[in-house]
Amino acid sequence: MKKDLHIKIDEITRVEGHGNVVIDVRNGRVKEIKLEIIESPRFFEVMLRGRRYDEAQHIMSRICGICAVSHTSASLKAVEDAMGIRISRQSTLLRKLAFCGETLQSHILHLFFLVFPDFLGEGSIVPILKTHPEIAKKGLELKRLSNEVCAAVAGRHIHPISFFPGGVAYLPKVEELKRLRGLLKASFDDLEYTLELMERMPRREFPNLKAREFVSLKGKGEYAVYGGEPYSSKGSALKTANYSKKIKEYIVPHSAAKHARTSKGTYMVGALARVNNNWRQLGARGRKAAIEAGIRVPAYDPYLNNSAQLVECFQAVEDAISLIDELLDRGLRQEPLAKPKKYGRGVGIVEAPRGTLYHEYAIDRDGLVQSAVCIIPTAQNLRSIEDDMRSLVPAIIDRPREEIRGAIESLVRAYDPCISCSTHMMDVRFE
Amino acid sequence: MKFITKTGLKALVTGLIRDYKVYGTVKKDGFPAYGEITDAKQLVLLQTPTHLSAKGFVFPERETLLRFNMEDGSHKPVVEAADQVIIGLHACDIHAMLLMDRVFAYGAPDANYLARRAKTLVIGTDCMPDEHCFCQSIGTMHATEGFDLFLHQTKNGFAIDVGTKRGAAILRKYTKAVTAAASEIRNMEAFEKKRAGSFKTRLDAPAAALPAIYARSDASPVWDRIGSICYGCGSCNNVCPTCYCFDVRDEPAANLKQGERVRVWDACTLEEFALVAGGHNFRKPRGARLRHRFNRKFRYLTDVFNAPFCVGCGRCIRTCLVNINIAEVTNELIAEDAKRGIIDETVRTKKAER
Amino acid sequence: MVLSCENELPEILRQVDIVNFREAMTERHEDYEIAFVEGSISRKEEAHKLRKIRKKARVVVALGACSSTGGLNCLKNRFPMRYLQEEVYGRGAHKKKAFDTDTVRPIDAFIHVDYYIHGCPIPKKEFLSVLTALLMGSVPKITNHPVCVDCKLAGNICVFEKGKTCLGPVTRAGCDAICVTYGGVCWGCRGLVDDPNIGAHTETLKRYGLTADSVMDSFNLYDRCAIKRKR
Repeated sequence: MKKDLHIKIDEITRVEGHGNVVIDVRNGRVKEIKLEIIESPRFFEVMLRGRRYDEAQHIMSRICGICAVSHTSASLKAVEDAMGIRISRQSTLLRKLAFCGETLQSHILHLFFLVFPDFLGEGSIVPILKTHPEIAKKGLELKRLSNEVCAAVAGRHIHPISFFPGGVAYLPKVEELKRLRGLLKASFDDLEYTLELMERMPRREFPNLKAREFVSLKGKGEYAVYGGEPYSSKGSALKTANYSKKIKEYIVPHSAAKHARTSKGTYMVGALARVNNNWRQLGARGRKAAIEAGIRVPAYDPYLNNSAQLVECFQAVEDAISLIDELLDRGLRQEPLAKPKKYGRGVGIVEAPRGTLYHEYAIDRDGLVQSAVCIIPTAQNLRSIEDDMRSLVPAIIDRPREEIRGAIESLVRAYDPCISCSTHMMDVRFE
Repeated sequence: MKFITKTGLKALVTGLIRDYKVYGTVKKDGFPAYGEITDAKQLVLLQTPTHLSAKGFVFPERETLLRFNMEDGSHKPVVEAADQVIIGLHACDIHAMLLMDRVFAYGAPDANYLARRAKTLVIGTDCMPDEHCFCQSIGTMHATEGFDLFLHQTKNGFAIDVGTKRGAAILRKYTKAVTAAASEIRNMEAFEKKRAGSFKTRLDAPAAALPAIYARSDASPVWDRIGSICYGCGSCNNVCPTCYCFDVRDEPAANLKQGERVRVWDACTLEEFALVAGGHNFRKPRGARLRHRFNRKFRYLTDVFNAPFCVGCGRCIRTCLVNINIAEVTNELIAEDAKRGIIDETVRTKKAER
Repeated sequence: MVLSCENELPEILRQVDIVNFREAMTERHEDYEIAFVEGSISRKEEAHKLRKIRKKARVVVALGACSSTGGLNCLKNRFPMRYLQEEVYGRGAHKKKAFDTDTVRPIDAFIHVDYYIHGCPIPKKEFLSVLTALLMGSVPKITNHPVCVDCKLAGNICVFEKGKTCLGPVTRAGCDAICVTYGGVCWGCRGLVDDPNIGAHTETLKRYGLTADSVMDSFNLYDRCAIKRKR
């Protein structure tokens, strides 16, 4: 048995942002395992301070180019909660439709650009364009479709334009919605193809699986990403306003991103957490895909997160089609933005592709943001990633060094961390 | 003169939509604008000018002139023109289009413009001036040519001037027109009289005197003053129905094999308009750029085409966020000129008439 | 946005070798001619890395608002650095390496930049036009006229007519005024034109009801670093 092992992966690749992995095993005992977050802190919450309430969504969208719809929406929900703004059914439907686009876009990007290269033995999508052009083409086509769904509603996917406190300032064109509906329906074929592809790929299995806590939104009669209330698999539902009683952030010295825990300890957020918590809310296509992908709830294996992402692609397409149907049935009407009625504190929670995202603001009587807190999905998963590395390494310590390295990198990647997003945590006490 | 009822107009528009691409005046976000009409209900015959002019329908803001292949050096001209109708042009806009016709036929005729223009039917309509309209002072208040049909709104429908055979043909084909009754014509004349008395913006000299006045105004302090508040944003050029400058660019495709030559609207009030190789700029100060633009409207092009190139639509005044007003500036130059003691004959006669 | 060029990506990759794109690739080499640099600089190590890139690359292109003008990040410069660190990470945070930070600056505060692709996000069209120009050996054209031009060409009704205000008249175009087209206003994400008439726009904004403070706030959203430097 190997006694000593020291691995340092500098700037782990094919994850969003900069992170190092450090593994130090001496005399067969794990001395240190950590995911160092070396990205520069960005201080978004402080940047927001003193800015007008109707600029918040614009500023906070810039936290991330991949999950911009999520940040924009969480920000809007927080502002609308703080200021007593109620948006129309049409606006809710439009925001949800953009969410479908974003979920699809983010998962497809992760699977095709970041995960599949592992399985196909390549370093990136670039050689895959040459070696497996048909796979690359499917990925690019699905990604383009997801972009178009966002663009039809919000103007573009990266940093949505038309979302403002009080509603949505732009009406999509009826013909465009009809066109997208057709493309979405046809895209099930591409998703089925992707599912078969994944089934053929070698699957890693996590050794010594333990039960874990999953946190996500949970809704009634819908697979909640924009609506619903926070829910823990080891407890019950909790009210949006009281989320901070359950979710606690804390600082670790090796990370510019804070870590988070619940009262029970480590928890996981993201696609796998959502599929576990919302199994009953999955639609027909989503559930069928989940079963085919070998997911049986409760499913604790973190490597299964990639399969859960694909399940959510089916779900997003299914939801997008029914949202478009409802919008077309109702008929689109130009509506003025709803006005603020009060000021104070507000919380907005959504399911970003990578997990539950919390924005909480205090807004003063002039409509200026006094303070802000954001809890980012990746920050919530950091503790879980480190815990998983700690149980994974001893189980595979006899394997060759490169294999250990590969297993660790795949593990980190399975969580689909977005490190840039997570490095601007801030603790604010509300006076 | 012919006459159709309101239902008759609806039949005409519905018929046109079947056979042509139809553009017309609509309300966009509650403001007057041109837009595509796919249902006769969308058409709103507006009495005040639209935000942008109609020039884009014959001279698009961006169009492909040719497609080229860099591998074999071949290229193919692109001339795209579809049968189209523009409904709702006011008299000033019709005058503007006639000027554009002369510009694009002058020298080397512009195939793209002329092809598109030949396939365009123009249906004019009457209007009521707002505070910035000054077509009366320019002489573009009435159109006698340049349209296929011209609609005058009367109490019961529309009295129609038929301008061309094509106009008469569409009227016959799509709707039922009768000879206008005397009462309709009286109705129309009463409106015209009211309109003539409604102008709030006037030029203090006849249009014919303006080239000479502008020629003497190069050193006026006006240019520095308006230059100091101008953004150089090009909005006055872009909304103007007679500004026709464009830039031509080659755009290679991502494969670096094919490409397109496109032209896009350019504007003489933009900083880089008069920038040439070596970084020299003939009109760097914003004041110099405005002086150039105003001279183009009242002097340079008048010297070539013997007509003012401003039609008095007032669009550049409405769009300007810092309130630079071409009518006020022109009046200031007229006043400065009068102070210099050089009183032009035409100015004298005009004053005597009053 | 670069990864959003789904149609063009395969074509682009036929022309160039991408040698280092950490977020999308495992492979990396240090042999390159054109460097697209994203992000602003807020640490000494980043400045050091940037200077190394400048030494290697024949052409450096600043990609996106953070890199080209400092972007939104400059909002952070309103506060003293130590205050920021302690607000976010607690007392004594300024002594810890992980929380190290400095005043945010655009990359041209440190190195010479050959070309800029502005905006947050960058327009895909502009990225492709700069890239194709560089590959063809011609000079990329960087727009230097106000957003008003693009907005008129897009056929939009001016937001000032609708009772709102925007930064279009002083902001560099090239975005097709997409924000106005989709119901928003120009926030100024592409930075100022080369010769903006700030004085005139300040007066306009006041005429449309903004206070002196809110005028400054509007400019500060994206142009804080640029305006600081102009003074």
